[in-house]
Amino acid sequence: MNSSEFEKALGAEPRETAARLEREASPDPARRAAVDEALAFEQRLENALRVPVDEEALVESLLAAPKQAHRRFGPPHWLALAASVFILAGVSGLLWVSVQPAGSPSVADYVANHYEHDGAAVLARAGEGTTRDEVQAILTRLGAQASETLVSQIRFIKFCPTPDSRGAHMVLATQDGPATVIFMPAVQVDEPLLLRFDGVSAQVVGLERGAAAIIGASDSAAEDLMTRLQEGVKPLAADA
Amino acid sequence: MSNDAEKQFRFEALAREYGMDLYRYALWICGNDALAKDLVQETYIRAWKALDSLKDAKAAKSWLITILRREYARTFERKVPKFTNVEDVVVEDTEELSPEERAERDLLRRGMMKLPPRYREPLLLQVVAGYSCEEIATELKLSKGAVMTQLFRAREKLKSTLQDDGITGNIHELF
Repeated sequence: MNSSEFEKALGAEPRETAARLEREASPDPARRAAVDEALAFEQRLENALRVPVDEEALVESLLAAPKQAHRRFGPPHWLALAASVFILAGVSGLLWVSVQPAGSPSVADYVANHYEHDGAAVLARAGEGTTRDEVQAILTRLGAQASETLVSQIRFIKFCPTPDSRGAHMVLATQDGPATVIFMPAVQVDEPLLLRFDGVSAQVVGLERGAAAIIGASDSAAEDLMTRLQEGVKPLAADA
Repeated sequence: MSNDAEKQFRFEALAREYGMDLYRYALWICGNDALAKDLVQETYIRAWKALDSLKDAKAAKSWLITILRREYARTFERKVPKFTNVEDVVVEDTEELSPEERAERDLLRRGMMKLPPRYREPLLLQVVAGYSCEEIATELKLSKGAVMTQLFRAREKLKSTLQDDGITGNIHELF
């Protein structure tokens, strides 16, 4: 290996090249010095890229994937067949009310299940804080924008699966403490829904496009949030 | 052990063993904490559905990385999210570092985020995911020579970032 090849190999594969040099027991002091320098840089690079992560929270969220896959991709095949029979029999209209697009689980079930699964964990992460850019980036990807007032209340936001599309799970600061809001871009509700599960109450309200579930807010905070969501969440101009 | 229990057991092992590396890989690719977490979650949802197709446990990591890269391409094929500030992305380190070490680490992170994707991705596969040049070549569908060139240039760019900032004293402007 000539000098040029050695230099390229060291820059591309520092650890492998160092091991090779060791095996060859090369006496070349210049190459040994170059290897030492490359390995020192490699260590600094590895340390810089090994960003701290809350391992427990991350793994916990990944272990929820099977449940989400089940919700996302629907019930087992035999259930779909059974549902088809019902549809053919003309009873589907009795089963599916107007609060969700055809084929989705009921919005009430979704909100209750999702909050039961993820609500406490997400609330606990509200302390991590978020940036306006992060909020705007997520909402933009969902085809929405929010008023500055609303954005300033958001303490945490993440994508989450919602009926028939991806949505956003947020924690907002209110005058009475934190409240959870789930934005569901593909859900339509004509009339507000009032829900109660696991000792918390929730309201599902229609927006200009999509719907939002407000969970765990006091009555006055929920009313205030409802107004802000309905007035402040708009489709992106291009999507309007 | 029933099939369902075995599948659950295998899945949990994948989550615990590779979740952190996948998250870090996703974070450095997309530059956004929330999107990276979403990307990894999507990867594991798809992994769960396709787990029966993973026959060789030794191939699990590359299998997950491939799923993640496809998901990333699919999700961001229309719009690449703008990188946020590195300080907004990275949780504050708890380890004790000298001011110089901290500044250098921050410069490296910023340099990494500024690397063009063609240099950044092979470097991430090597440093974060532990791939060999041959494995990177297979994953990225490139020749081994091309991968080596990209890795070499990626490191050169990062080193020059450090040298430039260090020499001009910009390193101290971080404080």
